[in-house]
Amino acid sequence: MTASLANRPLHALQTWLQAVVTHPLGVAEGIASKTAQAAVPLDIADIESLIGRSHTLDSVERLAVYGNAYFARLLDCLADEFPTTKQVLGDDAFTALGMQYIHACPSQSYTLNSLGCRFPDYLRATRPEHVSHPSWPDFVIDLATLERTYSEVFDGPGIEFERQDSIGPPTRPVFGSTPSCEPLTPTALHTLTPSELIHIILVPAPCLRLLKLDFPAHEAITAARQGTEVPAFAPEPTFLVVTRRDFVVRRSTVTANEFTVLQALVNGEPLSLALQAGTLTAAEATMSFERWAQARWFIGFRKAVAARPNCSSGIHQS
Amino acid sequence: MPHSTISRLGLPNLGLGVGLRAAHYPYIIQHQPRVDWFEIISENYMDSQGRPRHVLEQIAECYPIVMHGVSLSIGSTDPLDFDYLAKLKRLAEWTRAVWVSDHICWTGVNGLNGHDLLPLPYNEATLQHVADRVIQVQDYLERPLVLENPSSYITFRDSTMTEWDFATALCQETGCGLLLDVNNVFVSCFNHDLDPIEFIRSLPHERIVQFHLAGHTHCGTHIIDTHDNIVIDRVWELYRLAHELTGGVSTLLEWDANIPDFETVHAEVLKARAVTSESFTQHGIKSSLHGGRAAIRVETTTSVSDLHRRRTQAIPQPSSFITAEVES
Repeated sequence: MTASLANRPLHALQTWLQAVVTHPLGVAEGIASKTAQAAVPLDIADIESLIGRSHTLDSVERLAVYGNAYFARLLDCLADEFPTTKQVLGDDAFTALGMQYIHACPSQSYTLNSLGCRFPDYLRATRPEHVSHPSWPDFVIDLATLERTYSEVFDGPGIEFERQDSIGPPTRPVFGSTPSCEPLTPTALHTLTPSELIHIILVPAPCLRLLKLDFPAHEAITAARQGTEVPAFAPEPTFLVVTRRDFVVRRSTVTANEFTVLQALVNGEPLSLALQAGTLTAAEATMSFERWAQARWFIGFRKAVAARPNCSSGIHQS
Repeated sequence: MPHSTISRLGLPNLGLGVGLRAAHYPYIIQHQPRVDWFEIISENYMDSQGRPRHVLEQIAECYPIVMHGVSLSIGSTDPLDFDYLAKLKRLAEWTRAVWVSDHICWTGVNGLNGHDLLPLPYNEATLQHVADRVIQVQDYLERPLVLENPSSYITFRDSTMTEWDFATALCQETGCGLLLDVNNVFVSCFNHDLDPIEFIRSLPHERIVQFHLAGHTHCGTHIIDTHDNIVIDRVWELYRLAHELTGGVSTLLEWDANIPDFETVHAEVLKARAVTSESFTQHGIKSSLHGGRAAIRVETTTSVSDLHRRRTQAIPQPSSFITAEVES
């Protein structure tokens, strides 16, 4: 059937072209797809009634320029964001998984920075069920999770400047500028009574992320970034803190107990309850607290027990 | 570079600029090169709250900034994204952008974005659709929009007018400006068997605010706008023609793949000075301008396998992913 040339709605034409050039099996399959046929009923034999040929390429070959470019461009972008995941998977497996992901989770954003946001979850959802846990698929998932976290922390909100919103220019340091949040400084803490101190609620840095992984994925990523081959890693419960200072992403490992305390604090629990949750000794708690404050994982505190910090930090547990 | 007194939409000739890319951040910050102006990819900074934005802040203090978008999707039949426009407007205010540009294209429909600059059928219905949206965007941004001719690889049977007539009519109906990508003219004209000289001569020259220059990949049967190489001589000749017809406007070089060091990129755009000077009269290059497609010779030394590889190469998307800097 030949599509009518007259009064073909632009929306139908755009829906058709998008379906054709984004089809993972190629332009011919795209033309035959339900979406394309619903938009513009057209047999591939009649393609020239819609798309002209050139002196050197027929209509399908010309459409294929866009079709090839679609996956190549987005796969390049995914590879840029997940270089270690790609290295561990190998080029062919990464390409196959990437194409499946792009097809299942096409971009809905104006920015390519969001392209990979669902990739770790996609890997999790498509993990082979018959493979024991934790094993190699979980290593890949951990790598993708951590690489995505690095990206989000790198260009997300930070503690270098206070910003009124995501667009406004940096103005002044964040400390003390939130009315309900006191700066986390020795001077400020010394104003508290012991009973007040134990009930404070810490305010995490907006760039703070806590990740519990099955594998030391951070070591694999570091190895890859240093240009060395990523060795085989054995499963090892790994507790990571990822944050950003001076526009550089920083990651640290913590103990399981510290992680539990950090989780509780990030969730807005008062210090007293958080410390109980992690079963840290008083000495351990003091040392940890000083380290966290120095690393600026927490940037302020509130006295009000009922108040919850407005915290954007996420916790992922694999 | 001396700035022209001729202005387009009241906008100045900024001289010879370079597209700001993350690979050059350290060099620019350290050396503050003598570049007339920078063009940023709007989408790379609209949401940034990290180093890219921090770097842009420093650069915007020292250089004029022009914003160039790749996701406005002015030709899409999806509703305009006013959240996107709000961010665009705020970024333009923050960077004191001299103007804001995008493409005469669409990038997705039904809520999706393919991150490609897809062509439109050039006819009256499309013109009215796009013009209505340009007017809405200009009203919202409170400034004229400057729109670029994209490289394209297909033509629609539904087109009833040429691309240059479409662009001309769009300018007339909306008051928008044009960003003439000279390389895109060359690429599209080769791909569609058109005459690039006729294309450039037919545009409303008083509406051209800016030129783009870039390299491309010649695949023998078609050309892909890869932004991965120097500007070829015949594109320089087209640029010279456009320069003569407009009196000279702000000129910018784009380099988005296989990006060399900053000095190489800058040196490439500085060739424009020589090209627009009277001494640039090489007979071989000038003669190649005449005759439209016949004049556009295949000029490639690459092997067949290399051509095949390049045929599947991505059309560049300068709205690139910027790799996080991580310290253990």
